[in-house]
Amino acid sequence: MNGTPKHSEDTQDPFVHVFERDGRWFAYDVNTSMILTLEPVLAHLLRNSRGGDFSAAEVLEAKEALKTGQKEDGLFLPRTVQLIPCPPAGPGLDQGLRQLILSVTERCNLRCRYCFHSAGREGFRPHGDRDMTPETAAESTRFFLDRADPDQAPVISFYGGEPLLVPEILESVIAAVSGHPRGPEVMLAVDTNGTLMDQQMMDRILRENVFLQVSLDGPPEIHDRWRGDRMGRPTQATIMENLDRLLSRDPGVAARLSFVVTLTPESDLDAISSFFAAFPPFVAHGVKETPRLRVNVADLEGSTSPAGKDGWSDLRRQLRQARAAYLEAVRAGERHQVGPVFRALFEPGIIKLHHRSRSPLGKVFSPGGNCRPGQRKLHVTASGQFQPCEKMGTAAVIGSLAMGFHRHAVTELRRTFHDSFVDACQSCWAIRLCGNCFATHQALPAGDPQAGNKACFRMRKRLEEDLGDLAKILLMPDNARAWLDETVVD
Amino acid sequence: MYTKLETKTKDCPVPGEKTPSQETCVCTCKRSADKEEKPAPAADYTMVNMGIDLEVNG
Repeated sequence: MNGTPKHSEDTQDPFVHVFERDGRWFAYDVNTSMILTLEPVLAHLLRNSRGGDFSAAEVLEAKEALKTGQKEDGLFLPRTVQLIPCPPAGPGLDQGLRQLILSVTERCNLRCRYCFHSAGREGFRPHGDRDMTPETAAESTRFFLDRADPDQAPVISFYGGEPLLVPEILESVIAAVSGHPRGPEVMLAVDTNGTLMDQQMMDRILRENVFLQVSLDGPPEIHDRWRGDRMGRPTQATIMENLDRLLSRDPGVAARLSFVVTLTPESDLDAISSFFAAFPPFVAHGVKETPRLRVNVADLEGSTSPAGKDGWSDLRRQLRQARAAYLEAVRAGERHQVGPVFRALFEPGIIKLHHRSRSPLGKVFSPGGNCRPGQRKLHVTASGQFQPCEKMGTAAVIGSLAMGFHRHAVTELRRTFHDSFVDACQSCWAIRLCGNCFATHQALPAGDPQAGNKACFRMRKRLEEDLGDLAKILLMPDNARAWLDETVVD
Repeated sequence: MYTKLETKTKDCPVPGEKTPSQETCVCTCKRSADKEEKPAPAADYTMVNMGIDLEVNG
């Protein structure tokens, strides 16, 4: 090594994140939001790395390239952005809402071992016995529709507990919707465990074009290990029977079905993938599409999980293999062949990054992910309190049905969030991409001073993986990456 | 020494739309899928941090 690449200490460091993926070097330039490939010597220079076998001439060339990039492309510039709290809630606070989430009951007929409502964790709503009244549901519906974004179809989601335990709430909301001028545009969606669909409920679902999001983890040997009823009895067969009955009445309902799949340490990814690739109820009723999925990994903090570290490392290994298989399929122009589970695992992150803002960073920036409490999404608890979303536990009340939004509470929530994360954000390359939000903050374990740092570390790690995936796809031939431009931002 | 992997984009998905971070969106994505009926945004019982996030449990 004749020249250790280290740029001058009297210049400010470029605001970039440099990372290696499968032997190639990439950079995410924060100021411009550009993704770049780098020659190794420039990567080492940007990282202020020691070592590396570069000649003095190579290092000099890299330094020149860095200067050229700064001058001609606006790349590799230092960080100048100032972080500010999310602006105070303005007149838009109660306008432009897009989604109402009604926690219609605290009750649930299941006791899933990874459900944080069952885990007794601090800050999370436990299962209780309270139901929303039909009057509260109807009033919430009118409140929301009066303030709904005129350019978006208003979405009303039913959440719980298990919302199908209180079918009268659905009726109450349907009546309120039909009496409102925005009624014809409304989309109704139920988050359900899928065990309680009687004939009457199926009539409603079909008549009102209700979207169903069913929690289903795969074949019975996987699903029933975690998702039992109060007595620990299996539930998968009941869900499959209900789906079969629903699809036998109208196979077209498949277009309004989606599934939440939760991976746990003992998951067998291949078995889950095969199950959804040839989803039995869809196959039986001639539905050609594969089901829409959202795949999560269980957060077992505070649960009575029997899984040890071996279980997690095995799942990590399976996910690494799945990622490699997915990218290989994309390269071959066969991403539809890998099945819906692999696509649901990796594509949301890649697509979001591809559609990220690529405008210059600007002088000021408010960290905090996508959430703007009191805007877009409104969660109403069973007792009629307002929260920014359904994941906020018992905290962060920002209003009530009786009083409307509490402007001061919204402003205070934003300030608290900013104060909690701003130190970490000051030196972070991921501020523009970060999804850590108010709910993340709320979920940090009490008593662990490092909890916030761990959340940031996990977020950066995930973003780097997604950036690497996106970069690899962007390096593929046109026909392997054209699909990215056809996708939309949710 | 370096190569940009994406060209600068030209259009907005929704012209003039502000992203959550108050930046003007300059993404070129085609919004063809908007014509399709999309499932409603989902709530979630099991996860706080979305996505593949194994370190939380490891």
